Amino acid sequence: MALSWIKLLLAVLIIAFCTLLGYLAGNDCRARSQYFTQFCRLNELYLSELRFMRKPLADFLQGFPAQGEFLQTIQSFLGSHKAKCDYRFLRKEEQTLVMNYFDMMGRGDSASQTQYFQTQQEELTRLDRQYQGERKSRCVLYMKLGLLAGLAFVILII
Amino acid sequence: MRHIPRDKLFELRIRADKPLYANIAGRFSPLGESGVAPSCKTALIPTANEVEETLYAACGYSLYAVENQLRQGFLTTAQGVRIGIAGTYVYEHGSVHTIRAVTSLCIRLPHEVAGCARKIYDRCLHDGLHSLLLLSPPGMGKTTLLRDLSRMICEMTQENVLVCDERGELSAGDTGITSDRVCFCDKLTAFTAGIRAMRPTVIVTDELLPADYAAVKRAMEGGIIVMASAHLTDYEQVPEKIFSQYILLKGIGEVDKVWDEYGAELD
Repeated sequence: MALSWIKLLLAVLIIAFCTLLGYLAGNDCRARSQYFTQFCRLNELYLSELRFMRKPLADFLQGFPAQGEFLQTIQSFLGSHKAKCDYRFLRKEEQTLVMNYFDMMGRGDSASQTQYFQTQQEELTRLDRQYQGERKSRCVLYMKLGLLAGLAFVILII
Repeated sequence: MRHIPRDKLFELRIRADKPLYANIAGRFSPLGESGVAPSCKTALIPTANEVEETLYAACGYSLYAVENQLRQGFLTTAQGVRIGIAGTYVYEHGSVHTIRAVTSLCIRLPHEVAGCARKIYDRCLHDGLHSLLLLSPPGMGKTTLLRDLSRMICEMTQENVLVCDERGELSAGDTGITSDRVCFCDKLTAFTAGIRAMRPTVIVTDELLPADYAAVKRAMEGGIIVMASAHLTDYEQVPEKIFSQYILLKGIGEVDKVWDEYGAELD
């Protein structure tokens, strides 16, 4: 009887652990999606700022509700005027995109800034949609694979 | 900069590929790495990129936030530091769009001198408030005096003072407990909106140009006392004689001559 309970507990733990591994495998996917969702939103708000209030850049960025790695990017830009973007989940060209983007912020009058950042809007929206789609498909897939692997282990071992 | 006493530094001249100069206690001297340089040959020489980066930093890394000021060739920081800009003007549809290829900056640091307007107040306003115009060449402290005059009027009379601060310099200090400030807009707009909104007894404004006299006249016709300054050196040069007194300065707080509204010199 006791042995059965132990086996059951072990099975649950193995399945939970493998599912957790599946969840963690999707971390980069989630981080990338969250980063570009915030990045896209920042650009929309910046375009709006350029049209209306035109607050100084520091005030605008400090008021943006950033989280996670994107918050670190903004904070590093506010501190040293260099955007931190050397994250594992960002590809080389995406890191270049981030650096160029922040380098251009505040560097011109409202008309030229609006023109430039409107062209960025298309690219950012595309990346945001792409990575949101990937997050929905891949993250769920990885968790399911984790669950299946856990079940397979349980069947094989127990 | 850390080698120079802050209270003696009045102006910095930053020119691309030329020696760095500073006005220290009224005298221009070249600046080296350890403060005043013995000659311009040992002075620091900023590059064009450094000049542009200085301007970029001065506007809080937000050129778009100060583009209206930049079009007029100047920038005033939050601390009241006024930066004059020389470069290539870019026009669009007949009006100035922006300045590019900035080659020189003239950075003027404000200094609040409490009580510097005492002599003017005692000599010209002892019998009541009336409109007056301060005359002097640039750099003689007109802005500093006007700021202190505004503060004194608020303190002594508790009248409502409207400070029309087109360039943001008057506001770099205490303008008085009963003062209101309208910043970074032309005098006609400031006067019209300010009079309707804030109902002042006195308007204090800086650097009158000939085009501004119409707005001043309208304010005076409405019973408002106007105290202003102009870059002029004689009563005869004033385009329209609408003030009660004209005061020629010979230094911060130092009165050289006073004329009445008819041009007669007063004692």
